Amino acid sequence: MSPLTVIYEAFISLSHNKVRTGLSVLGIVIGIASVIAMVAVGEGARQRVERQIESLGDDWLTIRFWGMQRGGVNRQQGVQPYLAESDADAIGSECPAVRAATPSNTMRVQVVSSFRNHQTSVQGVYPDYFDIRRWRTVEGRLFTDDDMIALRRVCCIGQSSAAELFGGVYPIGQTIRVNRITFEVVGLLETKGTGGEGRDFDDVILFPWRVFQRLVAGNEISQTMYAAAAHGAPLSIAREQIRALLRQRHRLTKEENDDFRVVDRSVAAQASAETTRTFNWLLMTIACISLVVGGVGIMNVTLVSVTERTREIGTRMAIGANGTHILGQFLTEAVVLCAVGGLFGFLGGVLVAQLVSWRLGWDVLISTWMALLAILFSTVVGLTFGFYPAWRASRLDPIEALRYE
Amino acid sequence: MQPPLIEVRDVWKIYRNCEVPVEAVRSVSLAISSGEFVAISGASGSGKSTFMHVVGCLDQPTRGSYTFEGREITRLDRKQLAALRNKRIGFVFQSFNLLGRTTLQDNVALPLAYQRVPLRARRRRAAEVLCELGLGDRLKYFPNQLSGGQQQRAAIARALVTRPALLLADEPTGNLDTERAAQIMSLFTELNEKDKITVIVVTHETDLAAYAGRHIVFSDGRIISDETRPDGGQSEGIRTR
Ligand SMILES: Nc1ncnc2c1ncn2[C@@H]1O[C@H](COP(=O)(O)OP(=O)(O)OP(=O)(O)O)[C@@H](O)[C@H]1O
Ligand SMILES: [Mg+2]
Repeated sequence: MSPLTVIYEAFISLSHNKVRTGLSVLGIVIGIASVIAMVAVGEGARQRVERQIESLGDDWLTIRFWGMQRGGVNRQQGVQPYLAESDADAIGSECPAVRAATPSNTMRVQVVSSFRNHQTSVQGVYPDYFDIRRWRTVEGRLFTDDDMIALRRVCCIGQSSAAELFGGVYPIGQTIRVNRITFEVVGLLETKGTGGEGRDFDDVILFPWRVFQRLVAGNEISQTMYAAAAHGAPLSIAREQIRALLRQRHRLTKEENDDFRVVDRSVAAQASAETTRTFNWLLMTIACISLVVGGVGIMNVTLVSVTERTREIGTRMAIGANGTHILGQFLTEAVVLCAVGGLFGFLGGVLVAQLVSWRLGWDVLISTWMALLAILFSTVVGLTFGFYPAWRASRLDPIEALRYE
Repeated sequence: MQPPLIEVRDVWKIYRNCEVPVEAVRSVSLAISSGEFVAISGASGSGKSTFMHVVGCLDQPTRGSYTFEGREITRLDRKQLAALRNKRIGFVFQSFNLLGRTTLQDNVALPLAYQRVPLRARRRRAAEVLCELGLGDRLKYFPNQLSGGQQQRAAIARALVTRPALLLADEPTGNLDTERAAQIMSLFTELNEKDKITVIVVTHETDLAAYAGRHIVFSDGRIISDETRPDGGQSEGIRTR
């Protein structure tokens, strides 16, 4: 029989038992829909993480003071027990593989605007920080070296902090007070989103380093430093150069451990990507289980169909059908059943994914290859679960099949 | 003399699926030449259907040898048997066995589909055969929209559509009234005379058996009588009754 005839016959026979066909297809529809929805949600999450890694940048390092690790070892006289502005300056100027470096100090304080109070992170950094973190403004301007040298009381504000402090009011030109000192908001930063740990990168206010040290923090300590690799320089080289320089500057002997840590931000991002991957696999596994349940439904209905049509099988064999013809006939019915389910399942999955993105605000991603995935999956399910019933039909003895009541 | 179309030698069919083995056919030997019209009768359970299934290549004998058109059937596999049934043998059943949900035309065209004849060609051929059997105006009907006699004629059309050498019918008139039964038997006579098709019909009724030129009687799995009428069953008396 030509394939077209076989498919045509499958449609005819399936269309004669609409309720049963519909119910058995439902299982596949649900299975494929969940696979597609899960893939769409998973892809959305993956792309979001990728975007995040992209926006965080992968060419910069965090340097943290880690002095506590020195334990009982006595510090030599005259050695700084912390990172200082001068360390950052040295890294910036002496490490060839480093493009820029900045000291940084972060505190959580109560910030007061003319509208509201808000507990938030305030951070003092060199203007270089914007280059290192690739951070731009959407409104106003970034503060500059000029602002820092002139000790201007200015700041740049993250989107979340701005929303908390000013509501819908245009933040540029507004003032805030920290420690009873008034600062002018000169820049509204673009959004950075949230970190994997749920941290809001946009709930922050940035100040020029020296202004911050003098008026907000009241000391010279740099808790943290940030450094960016020179263009084209590998991060590992930059890391090694920073380490060597800091060991020398901190006068550490060979036996002494580093009193600082150089942290690669991309490690955290990679961990986040890994988590997303694991989560995606989990979702896919659950979706596949529902697909298998749907497949068992198809197997069941095909078995029933074979039993019901035993006489038909006998008749077909009597007029010349061989085992292969009968196998093909029932396998095609199972595959057609699944393919129809796959089609509706794809549409259902897209619908569910849209609903998820609309109601929960999750990122979802739908692309054409998912339609191919739906067709492929449903066909494989049809072949897998249709095979046994079809094989049984093909092994029937013509006479016994004809005698069947 | 040309070799017989069918040659059965010492064929046994024993069913062992019960407590006591059933010998449905016991040592039957028989030769049927091309162009013969044979009627088989016998008591219920005498093994007529079992024998027909063997002759129709639907079943293999337990023992013995069966050659059809010179080929030893007992050595063929399932696939070869299917091809033989499809091309050389037409089988007509008591209960018609037309596929519901399928038009008469497509029912009749089905054997050709298994030969991969293109759709149009096989529908044309099916229409041709249905017309010959007087069902030309019923091509698009479904089996359940037809009378029993019409359904049986459609089933015969399906058996004839591949131009087989042998037409087998197991009690084809069992579900029909006397008048329709006589019409079916006349049709067989006509096919046998005009198209030279070899016909074997199982029937309970002796007056229907009289249409055939040769009359074989089964009893308890054996042939107890095998008579060929001198005039070959073409006497005027029978056809006008
Ligand atoms: N599949 C089977 N399993 C066991 N025994 C069988 C089977 N088929 C037929 N028989 C037995 O074989 C014998 C012959 O059966 P068969 O159907 O050939 O008789 P028949 O002459 O066609 O009878 P009828 O005129 O009633 O159709 C019977 O005794 C029957 O019980
Ligand atoms: Mg019988």
